[in-house]
Amino acid sequence: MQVFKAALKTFFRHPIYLAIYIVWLSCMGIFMGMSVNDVPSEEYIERPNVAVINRDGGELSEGLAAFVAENSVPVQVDDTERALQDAVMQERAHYIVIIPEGFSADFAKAAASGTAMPEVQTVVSTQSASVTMMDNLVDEYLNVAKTYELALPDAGQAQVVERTDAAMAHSVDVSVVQVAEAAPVSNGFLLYLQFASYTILLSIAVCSAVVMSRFGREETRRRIGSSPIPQASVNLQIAAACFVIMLVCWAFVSALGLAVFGSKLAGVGADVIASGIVSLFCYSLFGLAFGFLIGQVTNSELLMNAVSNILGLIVSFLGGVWVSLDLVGEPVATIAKFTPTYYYNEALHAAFDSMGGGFTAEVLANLGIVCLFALAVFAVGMAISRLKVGRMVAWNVSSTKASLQSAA
Amino acid sequence: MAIVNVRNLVKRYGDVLALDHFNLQIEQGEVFGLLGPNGSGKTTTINCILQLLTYDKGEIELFGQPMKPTSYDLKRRIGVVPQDIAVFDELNVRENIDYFCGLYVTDSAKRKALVDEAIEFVGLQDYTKFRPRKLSGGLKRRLNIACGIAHKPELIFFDEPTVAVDPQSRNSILEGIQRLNAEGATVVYTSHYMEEVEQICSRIMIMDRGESLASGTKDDLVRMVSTGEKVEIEAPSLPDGTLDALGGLAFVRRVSHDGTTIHLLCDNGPHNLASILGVLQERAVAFGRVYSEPPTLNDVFLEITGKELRD
Repeated sequence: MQVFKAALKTFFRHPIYLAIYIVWLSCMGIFMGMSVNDVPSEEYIERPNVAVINRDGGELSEGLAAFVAENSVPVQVDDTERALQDAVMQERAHYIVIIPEGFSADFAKAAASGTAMPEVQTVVSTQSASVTMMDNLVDEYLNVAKTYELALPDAGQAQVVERTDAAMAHSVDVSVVQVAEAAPVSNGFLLYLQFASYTILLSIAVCSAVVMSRFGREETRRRIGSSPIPQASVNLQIAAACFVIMLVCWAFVSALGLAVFGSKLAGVGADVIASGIVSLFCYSLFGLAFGFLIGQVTNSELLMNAVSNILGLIVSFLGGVWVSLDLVGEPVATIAKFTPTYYYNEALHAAFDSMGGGFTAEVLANLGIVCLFALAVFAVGMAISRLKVGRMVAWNVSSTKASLQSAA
Repeated sequence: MAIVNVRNLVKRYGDVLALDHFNLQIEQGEVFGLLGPNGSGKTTTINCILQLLTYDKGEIELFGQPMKPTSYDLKRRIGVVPQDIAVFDELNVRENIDYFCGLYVTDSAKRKALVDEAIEFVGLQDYTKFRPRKLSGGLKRRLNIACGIAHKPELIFFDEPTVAVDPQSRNSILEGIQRLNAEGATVVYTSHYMEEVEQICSRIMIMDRGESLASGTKDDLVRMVSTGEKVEIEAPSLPDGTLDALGGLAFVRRVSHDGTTIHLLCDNGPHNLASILGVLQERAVAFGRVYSEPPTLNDVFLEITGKELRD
């Protein structure tokens, strides 16, 4: 157990890595997870800044202007081309309604004659849900007004406006109903687990690579090789130590997530939570294999950190940790399928979004792919390890040749 | 009893013959020196003996038993101090020694005593909590040695342990090796520094190009070569014909004068110096101090290979 203990000591003698890669990144994940609301506690309607330029002054146009003002944050803008442009450019008005001269009269005439209805002009400076909503409300107001014009041809426009305002005052009450079978998704915990892929990859890869590289140095291998410990035992002890490192990182990240988000997981099934933790474990195996690969490639800690960080960022991005893959282009989404992070995230979503429990076939299939990635990367590491031995022999040959030539 | 017995060892690196039917016998209690220039095959020999390298042909026996990669009982009796410092930067001095000792000794109480002894042996008592990067080059070398000898091996391989160390540390290391030998360890010491080998080794083998060129005690080796001694005589002015007269002596192989000193290279002979001084007195040459040096291992190497030991 001497090698095992020395390997673990080597790991724990790098507190800076523990602090940055495990503690700090986990805390970042916590902050990110806490920044999203699981279920909105209160619903509200966001009101955009709206300016109404009423060039008509008729009853319908006044009614429309009043309705818009009531459902927005009214902004005063002069009816000049420059003022309108400035309001849009400076985003003082997110939405402008321009009611042309004679609009009310034309509206009534068109309704009576069945010809095309006149339209108001609208200008949008910032496209957002609230602006779209405002646009829809304006259309709806005019459509209701048109309906009353058609239904009450003898009524004056004042009555049409009155009835339209009354109709538009009605709204539908919406409430969220929790059904027993559907687990409420804890978005915070899910986001934390997604981000944890980056934390896990970096922490395990760097820490295990450092340990492996210490025992992989030629002079150290030579000294250990001349000792009475079989090489297989040495390798096994190093592997065991790296596995323990992996367990430590995984356990810490998992425990922290559960401790912080545990209170919000009361309604989530235990199997779903377990599925998330198991998914993280599978991804940890990939981190371990990645660390093994880096440990074979270089003994430079600087390079290990650089490679792990860069590749960690890339696979996390491609896996949808930073940006949802729905928002990236098709080529990127296609490339993402060649990363284990993608399948890890797919497993998480399958577990948390599914109503069929945490360990559905889809979840298990995705986790299987993550494990295959780990196996593949490990195999590449093994191949490089073999190549390194060959390269050392080649180096010895060239070194001996050079010595012989200089001696000659 | 031969503790190390190597017969007809052949090792090739591709098309390069690193060891050519190499033979080696080392007796118990010896400090055996493997002397040769870089690339002569010293480290390859040790690596083959320790089964760190495979070899093409030959037999290796340690302690009278065949040495194989799985001869763990034999390996337990061996210590290795590699040329490059092989310690862990993350472990302190004591932990490093304890780790390497622990590869041989599993009993922790026994190991603690051995580690303490090794620390004292190399004089690192004041640095037990230091990590290697805080140690000077010489102290690191001492730590490297302590890691190799802490388990009290019967046979210790030192592979150029004094490379790039200051003279004080070098002397300390050489004295330590002599003490280990005095305590009963058999030592195999490789170096391309002839002074070190001359100083501590009871028997020496000169290697080059994977072959043993000569072996024996220092005196044995010196007797193998015809160069007897080098004589230097301070003589600022020489009468004409003096150098010719000295060169005419039968045992003088070469004579020269650099303006202040006469340099003579002589064959072995019991009365060389008396004869030389006799010639100078006959010619009334005023001379000052006289130096006479026996041949060194470098002279031996020069005569055997035709080149200097240090390339």
